[in-house]
Amino acid sequence: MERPEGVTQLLVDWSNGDAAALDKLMPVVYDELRRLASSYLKRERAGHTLQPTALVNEAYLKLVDQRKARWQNRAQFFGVAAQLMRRILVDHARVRQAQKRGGSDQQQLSLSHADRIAEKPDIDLLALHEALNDLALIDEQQARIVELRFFGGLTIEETAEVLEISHATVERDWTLARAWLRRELS
Amino acid sequence: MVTIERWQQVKKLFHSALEREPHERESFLRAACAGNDSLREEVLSLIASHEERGSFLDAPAYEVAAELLVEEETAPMKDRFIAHYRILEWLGRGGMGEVYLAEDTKLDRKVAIKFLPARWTEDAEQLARFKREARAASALNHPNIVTIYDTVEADGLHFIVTEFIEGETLRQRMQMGLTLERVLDISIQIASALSAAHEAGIIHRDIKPENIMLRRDGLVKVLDFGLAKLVEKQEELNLEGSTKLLGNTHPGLVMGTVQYMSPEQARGLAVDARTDIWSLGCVMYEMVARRAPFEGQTMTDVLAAILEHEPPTFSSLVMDAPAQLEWIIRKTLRKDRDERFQTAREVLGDLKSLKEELEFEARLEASVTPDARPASVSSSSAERNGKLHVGNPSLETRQIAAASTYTSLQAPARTIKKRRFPLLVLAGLLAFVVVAVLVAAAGYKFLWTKKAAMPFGRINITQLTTTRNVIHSAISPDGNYLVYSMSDREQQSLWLRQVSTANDTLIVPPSDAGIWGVTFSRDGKDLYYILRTRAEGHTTLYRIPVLGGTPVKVLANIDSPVTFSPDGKQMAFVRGGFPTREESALIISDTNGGSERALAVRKRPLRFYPIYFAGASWSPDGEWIACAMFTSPPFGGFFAFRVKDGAEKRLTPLNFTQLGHIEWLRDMSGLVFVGSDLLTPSLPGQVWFVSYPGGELRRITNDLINYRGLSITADAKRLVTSSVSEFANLWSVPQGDANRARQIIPIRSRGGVALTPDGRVVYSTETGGTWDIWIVNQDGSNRKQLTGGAGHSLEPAVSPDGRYIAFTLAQPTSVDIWRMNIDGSNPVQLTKDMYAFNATFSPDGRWIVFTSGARGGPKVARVPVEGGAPVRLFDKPAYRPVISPDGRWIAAFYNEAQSQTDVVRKIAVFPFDGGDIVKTFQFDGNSTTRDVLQWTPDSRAVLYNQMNDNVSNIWKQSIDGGPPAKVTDFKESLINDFSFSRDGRTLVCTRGTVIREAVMITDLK
Repeated sequence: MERPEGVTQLLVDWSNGDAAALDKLMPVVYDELRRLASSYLKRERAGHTLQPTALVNEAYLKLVDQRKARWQNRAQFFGVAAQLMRRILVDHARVRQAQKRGGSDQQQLSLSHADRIAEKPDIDLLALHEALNDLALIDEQQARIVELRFFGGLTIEETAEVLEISHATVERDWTLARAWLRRELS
Repeated sequence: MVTIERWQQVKKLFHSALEREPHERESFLRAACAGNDSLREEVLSLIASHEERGSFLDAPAYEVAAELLVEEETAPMKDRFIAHYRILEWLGRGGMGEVYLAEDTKLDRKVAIKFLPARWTEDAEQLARFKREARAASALNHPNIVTIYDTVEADGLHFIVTEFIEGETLRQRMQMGLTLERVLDISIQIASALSAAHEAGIIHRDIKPENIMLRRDGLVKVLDFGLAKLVEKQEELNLEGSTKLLGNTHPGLVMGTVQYMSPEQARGLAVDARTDIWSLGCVMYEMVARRAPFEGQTMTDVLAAILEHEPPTFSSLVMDAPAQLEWIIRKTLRKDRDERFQTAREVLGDLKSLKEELEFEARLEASVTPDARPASVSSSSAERNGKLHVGNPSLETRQIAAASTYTSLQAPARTIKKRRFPLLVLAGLLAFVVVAVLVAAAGYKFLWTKKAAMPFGRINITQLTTTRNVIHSAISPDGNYLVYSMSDREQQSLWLRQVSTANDTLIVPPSDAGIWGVTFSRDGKDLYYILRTRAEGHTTLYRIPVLGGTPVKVLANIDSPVTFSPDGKQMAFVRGGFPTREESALIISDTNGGSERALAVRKRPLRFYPIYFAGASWSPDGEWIACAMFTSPPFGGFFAFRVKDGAEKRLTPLNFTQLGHIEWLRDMSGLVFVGSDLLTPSLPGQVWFVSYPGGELRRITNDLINYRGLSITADAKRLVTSSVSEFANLWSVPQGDANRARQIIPIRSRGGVALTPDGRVVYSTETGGTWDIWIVNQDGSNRKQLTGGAGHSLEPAVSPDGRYIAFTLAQPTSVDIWRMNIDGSNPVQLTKDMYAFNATFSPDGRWIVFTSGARGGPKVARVPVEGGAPVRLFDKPAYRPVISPDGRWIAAFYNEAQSQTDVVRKIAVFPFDGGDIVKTFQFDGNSTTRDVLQWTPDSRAVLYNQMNDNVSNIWKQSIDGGPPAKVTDFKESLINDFSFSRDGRTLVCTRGTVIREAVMITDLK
């Protein structure tokens, strides 16, 4: 299995506090997720549903040299993936909004996907994104929990593991963050 | 915008308020905010927002994001110009990457464009290799080969441009059925493409129906010449994933990846043009038979079929095909490539002349009056002449109609069997049970009727791994994760697999320590495993979070996997040699290893089985713990022990000779376990169900695979166990020289092998579920079956004068030594109800020495060849006796007890005429090979087989002492049985490969 050189090192660097490593990491992870998601959706048509954690896990395995990385790095990787998913969704929502404003032909967008994103979360993603940024200013941990849970598809337990805090704390923060965001968005 | 300090206040008040009853909150906040109304309102509004029901943020946005990812991947390509190609449409994803339909704007023609994945092109070497291959392939110019126009590098993208074929793949076309005429026509075109390519030095490597396009005008085009090599590595990676994923729902689909593989590819050997000939044969076979020649439920099964089985004859599939076509196809499917057609041109020639013949005959037919025609299409495939009516429209129609009935006819054939694997490795942990005691399945039939209603009455077995060396595996309660330990070059590592993706994460890196007893906690969040140091055998239980984290040491001295109480707070396990050497205990502790107490302690001969493939199971109601126990070794069964007072209750009969893991079903209607008993046709551990409290037994699996370990999902719908299966061949090895080894025949054996004084080979192998003794010349000629009838005949030994064969006959209720003439006549029973095996003749031909396993451990005994009373020769636990050619000594394997858990297997030498051990030798034997011993002709040394790095060789230990010496120098495979001729000049042996994989058994009910 070939892995892009350095992903493992970037992950380790990032976990050691090198913020720049994250920026280098993102595009690689992005490429891999994109490739995997595509093959997943093909399988999905054959009756398989997409499991977010499975996708990220697969990307992790493809990209990170298991023999060099620490087991803990896997949890951090989920964090990276969640951030990435958030960016993708937000970028897409922006493009879509721009197209709407520009009155461009909706037919050009694949309707199935566009519709699903519009109706599924029942949420204005851009507004959520901004509210989440606001939340991060007063409570970064809560914002990260939302990111991991909502964008990363992590369970309470997995989130606790990634952030290295207790389940109870995640649960409490998640409850409050949801209440706060819902109020902000309503 | 609130400040951080304010937020902290809000946070605190919010949670405090939520802890209170709704009606108290208002007053609580009023008091707590002490007049700070804005604070109070802030909190109240958050509570109101919290109370609003709905699924806000409940569904992760992930799925949508994933779809967007794909969108971005394909959509932007559309109408994009790259070099002078305009992308028109996404066609699909091939082995290499995305494929698009594009327009060549210079030449104004449609082309197909295949993009190389970025990851390939980043690697300069890989890229160069790719270009080389593509260039070579593009030189091919043949009407049946898709033309490669160009390889392009533009805008940072690498792609190849090929001819665009409008039509369908052979796979699609086959589903509609093909006339014989069309089959021949297509075969000829493929063979023609292959000859052209081979003559240009290009091998396809991946001929399969998906790679063959049929144009509407009938022209056949073979895709991707020479490119398969480039994707091989990639496919290897994806194979596991696709196998597993598809395995659950479309077992047939998965196999596409391996079904067309040649034996040499399956063995990982270098391929040549003859590999393509094989694959062409597979495709031709499938076109005729409408099923692939080599089928199986799992990839291993298919590979096994490729390596060992002949595909069913067309007549057995009720197919009408000219015998000559069948002959051609069979010649392309010879396992040994030297026996195949050597060139595609030969195949082409034969196909063409067959076509001409048939056409000629058809013309003759047509000139005969209609009434004179035979009334039916060929009733016998052997009578080709005059029965084929190619080119006659009415008969073509009939062929299609006939073809459609094949679907129903072939259905049973398709669901057939899990291929039966040779008898497996019997965990050498209870070493003396090693003899193959295979007894007929009579007596279990009456249960069949109730089968469907019982759990796991109808099952599907899916292979989860393809690493070939899985030691131990377990499934998480939610079924999402598989954890398994594997062994590679004598090192073990622990891996976590996401079942849905079949991808692995390393948890414990390879080391010398054994990794055993992997178990998920009840909530599935943690993983427990035991490390056993190789040298000292120290065991330690560790816990690690499934998602990642640091392993924590839980406790030491543990001899089985753990099982958890329903509340997940306590666990139970077996500890051998505890509290005293003669005892073993079932122990309960908390999950941190504290508050240990022994729930039950048993003294020998009673014994909890201290082995990692066994282990206890805590009942869902929390009251009982089920566990295997030997009652009078080698027999034992399963018991339940009451948690509150240790009271014992028997769950199964006590006739099990191999005891494995047991698990309660969630509703406590029964338990599933691994074990083997005297009444079943296979000694290997099978998976069983026993009802509770009824105690009604039923086997879930019914094959010759040895299952080890067991875990079950919380919904009790899926079991995971490790399967151990084996492939073997009988070899003749002149002078024991590995370089001169010749394969005699494939054999499913651990059944035993012996040589007659005149150099013939006597062996036991399994066919159709029973084991019988056969005789064959060393060149493979003159093969004859000598036994056949009640029970399994195993472990043949030939008398020094070549007159008799002694053997073990295993029947439903007994295992005894028999003797027959060398031609199989006049069988005579020599022992009765002795659980006797390992027969060997004394050099003077008067005695048969054997092992008796009845009650109290294996003992060496002898009986006169002509019949009489058996006499015990030696009191200590020993088995597989062999007598020195000078008649003075017996050598045998000997279990020297160090402690209860620690039995060291040695080779012991003691006098034939009685008396104690005079010498013992320690050896580095391994439990995955059968224990075989033989003396050298000079009576000065014993030979035995020993495995190192998954290769076994024969070693020699001089009885005068000194280090053992290696006799053979095999570089691969495991030796299961061997026998040197009496003069020491010729060695015959069965050598094979053991494949160990994690498998999932799904309840289809």
